[in-house]
Amino acid sequence: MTEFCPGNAANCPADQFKSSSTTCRPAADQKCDIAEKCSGNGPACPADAFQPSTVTCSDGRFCTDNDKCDGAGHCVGGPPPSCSDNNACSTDVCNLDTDRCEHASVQPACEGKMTGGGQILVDKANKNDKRSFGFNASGTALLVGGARGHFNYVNHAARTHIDGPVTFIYYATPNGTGGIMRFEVTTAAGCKYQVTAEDWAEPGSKPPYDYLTVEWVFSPPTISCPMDNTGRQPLDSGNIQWHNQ
Amino acid sequence: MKRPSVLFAALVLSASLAAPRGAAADPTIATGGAGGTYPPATSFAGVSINGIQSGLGVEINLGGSSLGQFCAVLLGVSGLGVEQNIKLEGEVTTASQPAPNVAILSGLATIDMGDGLPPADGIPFTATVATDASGLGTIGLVTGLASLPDARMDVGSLTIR
Repeated sequence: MTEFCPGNAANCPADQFKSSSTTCRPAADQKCDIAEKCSGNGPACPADAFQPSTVTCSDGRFCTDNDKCDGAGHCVGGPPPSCSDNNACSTDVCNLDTDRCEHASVQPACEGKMTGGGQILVDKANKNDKRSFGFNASGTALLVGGARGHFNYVNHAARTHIDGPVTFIYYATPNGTGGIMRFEVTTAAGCKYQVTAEDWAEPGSKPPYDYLTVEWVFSPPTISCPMDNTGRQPLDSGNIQWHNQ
Repeated sequence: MKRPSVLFAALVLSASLAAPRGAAADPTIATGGAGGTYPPATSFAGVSINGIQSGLGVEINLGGSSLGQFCAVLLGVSGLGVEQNIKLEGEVTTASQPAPNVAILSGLATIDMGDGLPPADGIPFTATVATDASGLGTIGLVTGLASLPDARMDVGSLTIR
């Protein structure tokens, strides 16, 4: 502190210092740096101190996880988080430039062909809740324009049905005993569904069963689409078949 | 680390290269998920049948080779007046398309009469699927156990294209 002459004595007053509550060096980084305060009994600001490297912090980026201080006042990004989309046919990358998960087809791309025809029971307590289905789906996963085939499905109890071409394949992978394919169906009215067909057994109506899942995903404005969501159902009759192309 | 932008470009290129694969080279596809009824007094191996629920997905190639599935649940009533549903699970191995709206599917099936006895395997069957302008149509079924008249489908859809 600056001392002033008292005006009535020859000596300058004793040296005085700012109190120990005064910050002399603000933290440069709110997480990894530590603000220093005056000692209250001397002129020097204490040496610059930092959080140890065990302290967690955040560098504000999605593509770094478990960020930690580096012991020198900086927050350092950790490894990237999982970007898995649970799709074996796509690569999963956290792009540091765009700071988001990005997916693209594996190379070579997954290809598959499946056919199926049968029946599922969605509400086991209601013996009339039967859904018959038939489909033929083939092509390349994650490739626009790479899907071929058609899907038909009827809910006998509700007397509603789905009828449309296979418009996209999300994945198609062999599973050791058959294969699994997830594809999109788009009806003439523009209703969209995702269908997952699983070939695990021959025939599919016996353990360990083949499975079919139908999920409504989109209705165009003013269009009333059957909003069937079957859940993953074992076949009550029929079969789903993976074909090695 | 993989470079997504490069992979995406490869995808787009693949899409453009794949496009020329014309529809003319594609096999005919017969698919269906439908339910229908039989004429009065229809029976199958002694079981009175009044309806059918069917699912089928078949690829018909030039030359008659085929692959796919045909499944039918015949809704019946036993001689004792109780519900008796007969299940036919068929693997289609040959097929033809005598008309744009007709597919004849043949192969071997497992037929479970729904009477508690073991199913019968390896039963030959032929299903004639005919579509109409409404997206439905008829299914005729001939098996090594019995034959049925055409069932008129009234719910769901049948597709041949």
